[in-house]
Amino acid sequence: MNKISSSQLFTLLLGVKMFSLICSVQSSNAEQMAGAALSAAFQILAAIPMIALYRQNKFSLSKEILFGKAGKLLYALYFIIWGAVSFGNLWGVTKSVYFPIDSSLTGTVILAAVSIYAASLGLKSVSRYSTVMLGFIILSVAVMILGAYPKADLSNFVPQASASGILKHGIRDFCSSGELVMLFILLDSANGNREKSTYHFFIWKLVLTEIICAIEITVLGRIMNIAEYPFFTAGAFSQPFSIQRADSLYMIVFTMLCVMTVTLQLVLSSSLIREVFPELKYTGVISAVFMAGLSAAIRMMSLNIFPVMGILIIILAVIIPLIMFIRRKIGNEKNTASGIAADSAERVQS
Amino acid sequence: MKKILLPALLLILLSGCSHKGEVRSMSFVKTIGTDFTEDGIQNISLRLYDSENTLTGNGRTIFSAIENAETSQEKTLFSGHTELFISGEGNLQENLELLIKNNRISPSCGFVCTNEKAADITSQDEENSLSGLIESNNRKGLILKRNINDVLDDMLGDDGMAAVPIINQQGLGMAIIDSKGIIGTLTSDEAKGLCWLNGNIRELYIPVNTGDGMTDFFVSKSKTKLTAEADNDSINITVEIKINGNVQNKNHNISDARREISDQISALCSGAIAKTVTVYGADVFGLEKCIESSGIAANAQWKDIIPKLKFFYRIKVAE
Repeated sequence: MNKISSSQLFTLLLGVKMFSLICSVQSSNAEQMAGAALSAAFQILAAIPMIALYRQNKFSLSKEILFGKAGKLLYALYFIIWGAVSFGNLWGVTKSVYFPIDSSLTGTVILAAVSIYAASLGLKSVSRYSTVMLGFIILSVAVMILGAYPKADLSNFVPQASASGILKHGIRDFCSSGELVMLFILLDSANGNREKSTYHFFIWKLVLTEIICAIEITVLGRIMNIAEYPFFTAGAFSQPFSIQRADSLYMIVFTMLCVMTVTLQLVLSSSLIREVFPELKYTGVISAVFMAGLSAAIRMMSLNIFPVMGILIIILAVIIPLIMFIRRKIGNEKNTASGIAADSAERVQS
Repeated sequence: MKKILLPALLLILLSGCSHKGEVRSMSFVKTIGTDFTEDGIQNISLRLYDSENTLTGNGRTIFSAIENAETSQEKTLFSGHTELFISGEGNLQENLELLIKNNRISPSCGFVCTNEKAADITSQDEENSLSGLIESNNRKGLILKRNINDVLDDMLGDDGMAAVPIINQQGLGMAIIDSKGIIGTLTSDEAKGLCWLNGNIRELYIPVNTGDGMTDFFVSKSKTKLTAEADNDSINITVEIKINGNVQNKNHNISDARREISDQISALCSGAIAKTVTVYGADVFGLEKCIESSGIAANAQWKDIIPKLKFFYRIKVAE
């Protein structure tokens, strides 16, 4: 994979998170806002072993990944599943929100084609694209805040939250935070101050989540319970002019973020597959076909994929990095101990 | 060559060259009027921008009726810029939910109901200025301007009712509606009271008698805040209205003017509360939300809350 800068790591991850937020079908409330904070705190804790691992001298993920090729395939499978979820989001939004395309299938096929092409250009091009997207994200959030301000009603916010509710929403937020797995893989390709970018990502992702939740709650009120995609409904309502459709901006941002997210999944999954099967060609196309097929299967069988995603996130972003860190730490200590023993043996001999 | 071929192909596919919609082949809907028949059919009447004619159609749902209306002319109808939705009596909530979920019509689109035929109002010449009329009446604190989002938000409350502008032979006023139709109308003073309760009245002249004679009090801006407090078995609701303004004739006693303004607004508010809350059992100025956000009477039913409500007014007038 190409190398990216630490700031590009930040923009990539934030863009992917923004896409999840746009596509969220959950109604926002005080419990969700508190749950997101809880989830962010847990994610920061979960990221500590990863960061500690990358701090180790001469650490290389591709060489030291747990379970070797099987481990790489597991990560590739995760990115394919997540790509399928992204395709599903595109499908769902284009079906529910008025989208000026002929059919959702056409949209999915075009998106897949664009993503395959973008993925063929490598990680560097996606990361450059993500910096442009950061500008779009800031613009769209700014427009939303400006439009929401006169329409926001603070009495829509009910500060009632139970511990079980916060925990439930925290778990749900964690299960949709696949960026953690992505972070583990992308840290290997990132240069510069990776720790700073990682922590900045967690902070800004929480800020973004809370801003969007606050807008949805105060602007939509009880409408939120019937809105299929609260972000789009809030976007349609919170606009500076009564009859103008500024929500087209959110559709553009949604489409561009969708391309970015799917492309990134394709880049990551295809590069991991290529590491396992160096002879295999068209890994991007294969990954895209799997993603689209899996997405269709999930949709047809109405599967709830989020518990699976949550388990995979815990395994791939928490347990595996932790085991790798402990393994390396023990290995280093053994090496140091055997080094000292050999040194003292040499001295005795001399 | 291969590298150029794919982007070139994508450019052609993605540049919007196929299935394009020319502006000249589209008609933009300005107003939608809908009437319900007893057998569940909706009769729709559409007023377009830059057109004297009204399109009509019918169908089981609002969108099937709009499609039916589209077939009466050659252009594609675009309803994304609809300014006003005029609804006759019928499945109001069902229609509004459909509009919000479908996303084709902006939730900011204005809403007005009628106890007459919406089609007649849509087709009348006066209709052209109805949005403006609602706007100016709202500005002067005579009626509340409501949009689809506001109305549905109110209807989804425990009381299932909303306050909306009503248009009929008598003119423009305010009415209380539920999911099926109009429950009752408000007098002009009750409508004014409701406007004060909902807040943000600005640039308004109120005649006051200060003892030195009649003069005008100019309200430059105002802000209303509701607070709820539990007091034994009852719930005290304090309506605090902060008014910025001044007496037009400086020779008149400002204290008298303030007292007079306070009395007038309190009377208007209590009249509106008596009609909406006591008579109709409706929450049309955010009472339920205020009580909920104060953490009082959690999970209590609105009809059980009503007898516990006690209202207090605090009108603050500043220059």
